[in-house]
Amino acid sequence: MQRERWRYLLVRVVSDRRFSEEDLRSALEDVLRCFFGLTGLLQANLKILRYSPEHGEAVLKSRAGSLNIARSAVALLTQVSGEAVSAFVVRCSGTLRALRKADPGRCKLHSTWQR
Amino acid sequence: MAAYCGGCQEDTRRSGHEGMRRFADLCVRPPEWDLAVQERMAALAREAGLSSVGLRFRSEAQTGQKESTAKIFRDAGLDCAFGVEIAPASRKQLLRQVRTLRERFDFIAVRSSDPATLAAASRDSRVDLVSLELQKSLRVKHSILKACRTALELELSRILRPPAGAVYESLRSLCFEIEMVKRFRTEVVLSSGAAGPLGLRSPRDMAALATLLGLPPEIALDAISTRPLSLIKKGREWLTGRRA
Repeated sequence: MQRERWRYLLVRVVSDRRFSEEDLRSALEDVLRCFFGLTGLLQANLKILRYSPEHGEAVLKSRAGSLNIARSAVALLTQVSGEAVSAFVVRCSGTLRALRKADPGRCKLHSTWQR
Repeated sequence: MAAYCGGCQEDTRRSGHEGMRRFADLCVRPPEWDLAVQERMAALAREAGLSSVGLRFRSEAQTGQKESTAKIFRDAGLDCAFGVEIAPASRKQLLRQVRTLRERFDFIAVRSSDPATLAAASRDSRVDLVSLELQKSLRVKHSILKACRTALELELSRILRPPAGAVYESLRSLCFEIEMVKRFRTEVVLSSGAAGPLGLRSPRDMAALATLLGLPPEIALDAISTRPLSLIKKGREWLTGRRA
């Protein structure tokens, strides 16, 4: 059986208010369900690996074949628990290590990654 | 040329030149005189991966205001182009506005609810971009795009901030325009249409969304990199030649 390939996305979340990881997850799921349906939601299999409300940064994991869906979901994110937000992918990589190493200065989450 | 698969790093390694792609968003509308918001927008635009922005002003915008806004974006490391958006109600008004504004801005974008005016704008070589957002009829859109010689602008804000929450209508309209663009091989430019920091998006994310809506991946990427950049270059060359 072929191994599943993943993409890791460093996402910048811009908002005037802080919100929890659960709120962000639920907002992303809503966007995926609304624009791509349940199949899109399952295909992308988008997961939040890290989230820092202080820095407004998150690391997401998505299936490699559904990268366009994951990127689109991030672009289409306009609200998290009723608060206006915007989000964009700062960097995309095939491994978490590469994502961290590529531009450690840019990724503020870097200092908090211990795993 | 390597096949594009949504901007992943794998393709960057394979092709070598993909990582060198420079991106430009031709529809950034910073709020007038709100310096704090302008600075935030400039920083976010840079962070999102843009290298050039087309600052969109109203036709009556003063030079001082344009320059102060551009300085903020230039300080953030972005190349700035000045654009103007006009919404003429008739063909006569369109020609008059284009004649006076062409020499003051790098590019001109036209949006109009009048089909005849929009059709005239789409055939005018002095107009750089036309938007079909205000056109509701698919038949009119079809006839305009069939003879369109300027680039068609597709703004992401049409989906992000649809009028009265009509997301379905906006998506349907955008998908139809993309379908027509493919059929008639019309030039297309993707932009965010951001009027504030929360409207800005990463160019590769916009290209990914356009790809899902039906635009071929390479064309989607070109629509937010090479096409807008060549449009800015053309406008600047024209202005330089005119002044000389």
